[in-house]
Amino acid sequence: MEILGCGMIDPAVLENNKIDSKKYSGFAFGMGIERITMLKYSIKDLRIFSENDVRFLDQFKGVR
Amino acid sequence: MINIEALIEETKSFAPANKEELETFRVRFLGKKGVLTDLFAKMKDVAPEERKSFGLQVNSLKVAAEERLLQFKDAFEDADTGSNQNIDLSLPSDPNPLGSFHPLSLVRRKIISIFSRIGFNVSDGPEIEDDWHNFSALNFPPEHPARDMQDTFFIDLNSDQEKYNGSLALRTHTSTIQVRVMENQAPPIRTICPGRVYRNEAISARAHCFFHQVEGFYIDENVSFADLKQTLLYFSQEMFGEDTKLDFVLLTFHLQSQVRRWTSVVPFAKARDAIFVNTRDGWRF
Repeated sequence: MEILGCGMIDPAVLENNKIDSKKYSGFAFGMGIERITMLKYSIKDLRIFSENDVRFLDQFKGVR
Repeated sequence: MINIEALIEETKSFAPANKEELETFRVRFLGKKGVLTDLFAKMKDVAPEERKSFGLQVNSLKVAAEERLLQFKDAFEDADTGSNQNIDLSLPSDPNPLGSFHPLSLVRRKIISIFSRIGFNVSDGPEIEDDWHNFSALNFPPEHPARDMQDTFFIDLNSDQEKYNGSLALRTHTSTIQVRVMENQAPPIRTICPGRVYRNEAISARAHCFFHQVEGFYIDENVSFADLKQTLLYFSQEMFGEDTKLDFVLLTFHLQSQVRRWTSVVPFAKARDAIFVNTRDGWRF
């Protein structure tokens, strides 16, 4: 499952934001919190996150 | 003639069993249409020479009735507060039921905690963004496929188009925050940007019109791809367990302006089925 999009930052993006791309380089990455949560807790349908079903939410009691 | 002496005797021996009996007593003697009102009204009919003693008698009845009322009223009110009952005040109170964190909040907090351990701070930005922060500053030219791929919720600006450089939209990714951080801070920058994003997509088991992202970036001298790999490996092992491995798969978009975009993959059982690769240049890891 693809979870982490990432890459080296395009020097043009650094220059767009007035950062000297000859001196500096960088990386960026992104992830979906829903995707990570589904993977971590074996959840198959992301719609359940916004349904406010107490039977679902109760199962996370005490989780830190 | 009414026997006031008898009424005084009755009043003095009155002993109500409960609040209701006391109230009946109060209404009978001290109410607006009660015995005392009646007696005071009769005063004018009493012969002048008897009026004084009559008045004294009525008054002592009134005092007696009021005393009785006061005495029992206090007793019953004390009973109401339970102060004369046998209650153990040292017992703990009933427990207050606690709620729980939403699973998305739990995971967001864990992500922030993991990255904070390796020096990333947290940045925030607005959910309504202009074209520059959502696309242009990130090198998405106007014809870039991402602008189609991410069906965007644009905001109807009417007459304010100039004020917002043409377009406002609900942000489609948290990369907007990267741009805002770069505007306000010189390198080195090491931050993550958690937030809600919006896509104009049909709602299904795997897609929603809003969801949550965490974007992270690191800009400094000599930041390399090795740093990226190690950062994501550390994160994945902290989140999913020490034996987690990452596969890096090269994705390229077909426009030349887009840099190579990498994606890392956590290989879970059968998860490999979901790997997608743009095979235009044939790279595959």
